[in-house]
Amino acid sequence: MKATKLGVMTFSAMLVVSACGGGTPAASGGAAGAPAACNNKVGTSSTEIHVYSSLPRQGTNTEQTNTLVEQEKKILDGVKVGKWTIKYFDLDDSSAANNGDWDGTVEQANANKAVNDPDAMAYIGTYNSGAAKLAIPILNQNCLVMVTPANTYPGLTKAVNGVTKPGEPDTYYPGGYRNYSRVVGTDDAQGAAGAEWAKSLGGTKAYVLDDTQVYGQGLAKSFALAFTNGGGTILSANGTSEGFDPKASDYNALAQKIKSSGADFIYIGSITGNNTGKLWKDLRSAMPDIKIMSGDGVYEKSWYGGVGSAGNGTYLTFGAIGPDQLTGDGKTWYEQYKTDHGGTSPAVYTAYGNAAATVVLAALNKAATNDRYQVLKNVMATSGLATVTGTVTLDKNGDVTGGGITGYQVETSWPPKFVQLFQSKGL
Amino acid sequence: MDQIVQTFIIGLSNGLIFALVALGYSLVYGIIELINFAHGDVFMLGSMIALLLISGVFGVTAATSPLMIVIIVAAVILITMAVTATINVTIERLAYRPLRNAPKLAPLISAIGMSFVLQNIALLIAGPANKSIDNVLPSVNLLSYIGVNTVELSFRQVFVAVVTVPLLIGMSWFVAKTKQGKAMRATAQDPDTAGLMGVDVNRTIAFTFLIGGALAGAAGVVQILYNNVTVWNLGFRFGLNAFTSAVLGGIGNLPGAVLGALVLGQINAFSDRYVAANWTNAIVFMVLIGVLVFKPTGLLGQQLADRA
Amino acid sequence: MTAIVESERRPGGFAGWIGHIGDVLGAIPGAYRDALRTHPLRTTLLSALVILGVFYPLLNRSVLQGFSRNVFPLPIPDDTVVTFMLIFSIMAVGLNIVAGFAGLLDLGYVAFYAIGAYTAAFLASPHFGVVSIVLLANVPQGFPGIHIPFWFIVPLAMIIAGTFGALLGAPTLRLRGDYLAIVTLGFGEIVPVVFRNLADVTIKFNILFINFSAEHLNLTGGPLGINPIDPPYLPGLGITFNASAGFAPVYLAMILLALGVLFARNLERSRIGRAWMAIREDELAAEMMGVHTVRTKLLAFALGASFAGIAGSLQASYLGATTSDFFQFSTSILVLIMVILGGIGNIWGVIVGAVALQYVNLTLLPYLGQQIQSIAPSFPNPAQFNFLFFGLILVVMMRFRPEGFIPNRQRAAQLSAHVLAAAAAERGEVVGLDNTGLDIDENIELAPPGQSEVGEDARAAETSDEARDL
Repeated sequence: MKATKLGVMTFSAMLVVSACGGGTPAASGGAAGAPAACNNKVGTSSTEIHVYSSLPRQGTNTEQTNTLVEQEKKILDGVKVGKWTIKYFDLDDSSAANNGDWDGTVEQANANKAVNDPDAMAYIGTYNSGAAKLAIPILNQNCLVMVTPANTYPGLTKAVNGVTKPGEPDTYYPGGYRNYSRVVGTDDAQGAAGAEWAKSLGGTKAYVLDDTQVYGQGLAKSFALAFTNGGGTILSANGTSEGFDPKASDYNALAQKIKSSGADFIYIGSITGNNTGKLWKDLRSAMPDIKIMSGDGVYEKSWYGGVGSAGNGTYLTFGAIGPDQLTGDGKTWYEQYKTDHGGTSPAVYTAYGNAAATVVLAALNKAATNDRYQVLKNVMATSGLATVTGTVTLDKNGDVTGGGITGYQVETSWPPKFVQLFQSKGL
Repeated sequence: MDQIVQTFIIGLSNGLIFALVALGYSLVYGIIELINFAHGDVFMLGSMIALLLISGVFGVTAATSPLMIVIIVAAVILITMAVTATINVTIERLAYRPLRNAPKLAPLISAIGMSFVLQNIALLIAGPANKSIDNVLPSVNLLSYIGVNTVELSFRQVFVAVVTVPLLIGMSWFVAKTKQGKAMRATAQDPDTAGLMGVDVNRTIAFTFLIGGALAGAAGVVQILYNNVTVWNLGFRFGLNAFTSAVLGGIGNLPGAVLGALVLGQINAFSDRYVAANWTNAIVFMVLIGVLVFKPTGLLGQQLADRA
Repeated sequence: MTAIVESERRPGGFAGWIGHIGDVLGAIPGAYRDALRTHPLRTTLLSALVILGVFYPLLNRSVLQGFSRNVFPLPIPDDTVVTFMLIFSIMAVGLNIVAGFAGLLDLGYVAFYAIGAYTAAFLASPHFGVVSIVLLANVPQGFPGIHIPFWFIVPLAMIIAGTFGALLGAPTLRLRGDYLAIVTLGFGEIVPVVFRNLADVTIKFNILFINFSAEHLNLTGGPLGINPIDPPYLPGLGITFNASAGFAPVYLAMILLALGVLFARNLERSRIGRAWMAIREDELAAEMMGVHTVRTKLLAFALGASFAGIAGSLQASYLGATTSDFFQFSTSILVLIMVILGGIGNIWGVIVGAVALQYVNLTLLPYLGQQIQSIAPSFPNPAQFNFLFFGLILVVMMRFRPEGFIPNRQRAAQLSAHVLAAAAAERGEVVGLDNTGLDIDENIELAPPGQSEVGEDARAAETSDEARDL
């Protein structure tokens, strides 16, 4: 009886209080001057500046992230900027309990760790777009700038009709200002280039598959949209991309379904680790002559090792300039990398890890101070910066302008052969 | 119509492989009432070992003669079965036997732990991505020889049947007719009384694991020759499907495990083909739940005796 | 609490009620002293825990960090990790009700976690953008979507998850032991698949003259998930409990956990708790003795699920986003491991299990990895071995302490009885063994010196007023 009375009293009190409490969410800073979140974000150390990176360092991702970390460390760790020395922290955003894939809790913990370190001036990451969605708001509320070498989901920086959700990208920036930038292109451009290429290869009726994850689905949907806009027909579910189950043990039935639909082109949006080996083999064994195209999620040696000869003939797009197509400084870097690593080519994102670190270093040098806001301003204002991937200029969304999409075809071995460079156009 | 037949054939091949693995689950559950989470990973190890033997040790290429291939495949099956059987018995000895008298959930956790260990070992050795071999068996459509071109029955699918069916029949004969099989059945029914009647319970249990492991190994070989692909987390989904088959058929019941597996293979294939691949997993479980609502002990299961 | 204050005639109405509160509060010191006298160990531990909890930020930042820097480099979990430890503790307590009290093996617990999270997502985000229902929330009027304060969402999530718990439990009623396990596993797979796939739904129907057609409906957000989700907001003090709020969410989680533990303890000691125990030990006998097994089992599922609902809604609101990727079979297994490792049946045990496991998973293993990397950079990435260590820890723990960290007294006695019997059998002796494990006194004399810890517990269980443990 007492408990009920007490409960009722508390409950009514809560109602009264919350009725008074409604109001607008925290307002951002005014049009001029620093955003409210950026007040007094100066480092305490007079000798060190910290740069954090948050990448998945376990499981299937290590092929890429090992190279990314190596590049970033080489460029940043121990380098002097003014009177400070940069210290580089390699954080892992994956967890054992999650099979070595990125884990939302860990990513948030990493973001919080960086934010709570007063000497942290930049955050390089993430590798997976889903993880970035969680980290950006935390960093945004604490004026820490983020540069990604690998996120390609468009909704993080811009709105794309038919691909991103309503409200994106503003939902990621509660502080009302931008603190996120990337050195790679976005998937809407990659999907559009893929559709243009598919059409020029004679594809008219395409069947589109995706691995039901953020990257794969975003890319596949972009392709489907662009393909339809270009006059082609999409035969998969609802006129857009259809999910396959990455954990299934057999795709023969799915392959039969595609075969009987009369498609002449298959587009697959997926990452290597989602059972692509089996998928390709089953598709090929049902349709040995059909054209298959996929994106940079599978542009990896381990993908080819998994698909074997079923991968021969596959067309691959990469959302930026491929490592073997880099010119100038990039070409020098590419050759040097091969020499340093006993002939192994860099992974497809390696150069972009290098570029991201270069952007951060340049901004730190320009800011010449350990104030987060200054570093952020300089990163977001990067213009005409020479990196191994070409000249980097960021637009107001934090996206890199220009750039291109590279088209490759797998012949009978790895790496694939370069075919064509496409202009980076939106949808 | 052709499509239905084709889907049926695909479902049958997969179902037979599930059946071999499901038997292992059912055998172990029947005898010590343990859901052996690590069993699917023993199967995965079997396929990895087979891959190693085929491409590495024996070096099969496109140029190897058919006779050599037959001999090599037979050798691979025998070797893999021996290795996985040993692995399974070792696991039992290390992780399950000391927990024979522990609270019932302790061996379950131990099994889960062993599953993680096996998966990680495979991950470290084989790397994270799919590992594949090129077709060892000819991929010709056998039905084209009799003029049927709309349905495909490949040599590999026949191979699956050729290996699995004798093993399944052999297994049921073994359990029904031999002395060791009788010992297994007795221990499954009532270990204490079986012990009193002179059955060496520990040895029988070890023997059950031996057979279960061997079957998983054979399934692994068949899997790699049929699918040409293996990966470190293959055991998870395969194991889930196989265990669900065992439950569907009536856990502890061997013919039930086989029946459940065949049914499950068909559900998988038809769902992939006629519904959508991303719903298949949910559909499999909905069917399972539906069956269990009407028949709580599975399709062929009888009420297991209440063991105090 | 009711026993502390004798019932007395008091003036009625508000004054009387205030007076009664005063009495209750005034009686606390006396009750505390009594408790200290009768159960010294337990009371001191609990008091220490309360003090630690209240002074958490001080503890974490100054004390532990200082310790870590100056004495021994122990990796200290930060606030996000601690919040998740507590969220998982809530789930562990819930699963303990299902698996520990009632003995029903639930392998699909993550389904209810997902339901709780998506409840929060549906009711506190711009997801249903076609409508705008803002009730007392910290969001401007006219903002798209449904927005209800977190404090209302928690009881709603409890009720909804609990209802689903009962619904999903219903088909399992006739199933024995491990069939139940596989069916619950099935639900654990079906629910996330449903949430993942309903992102592009087309409904068309044509009944009589109702012509309804809707295309590309995004019902559940699919793999992209639903974000942002409004964080819990306390209007009076203006605190937002999201991931950048430092230690405030830790307090929120602690309070929810404390409420959960209180609830679970009361359940354990109530008639329904004893009914669960009876069903767990021998369902047939329980039925014969008049226990309504159907209702009791359904209640176990429902109440256990409601805990996961609370945890899920807290997680979603705290993270600010949710997606079906967060809810996989591995999470169900993780919670089950926490329960068993911690000591199944024992509320504090499972909390210890949850905290320890999350610590190892999220803090210790990455830390060790980084240390190894910095000492021997050429050593292959140690993060690749995490899974292996995790598995080895499980196997070893079960080998040497299968009853968990803090076992349920009865289980410990049962276990010691079995272990002793096995040991005795190996020595060739015959031991009279009562399988029910309830005759604790008989087994005490048999405790060999090495087993004293368990024996002590068993003896203490016999002498204390309550036959139950912490």
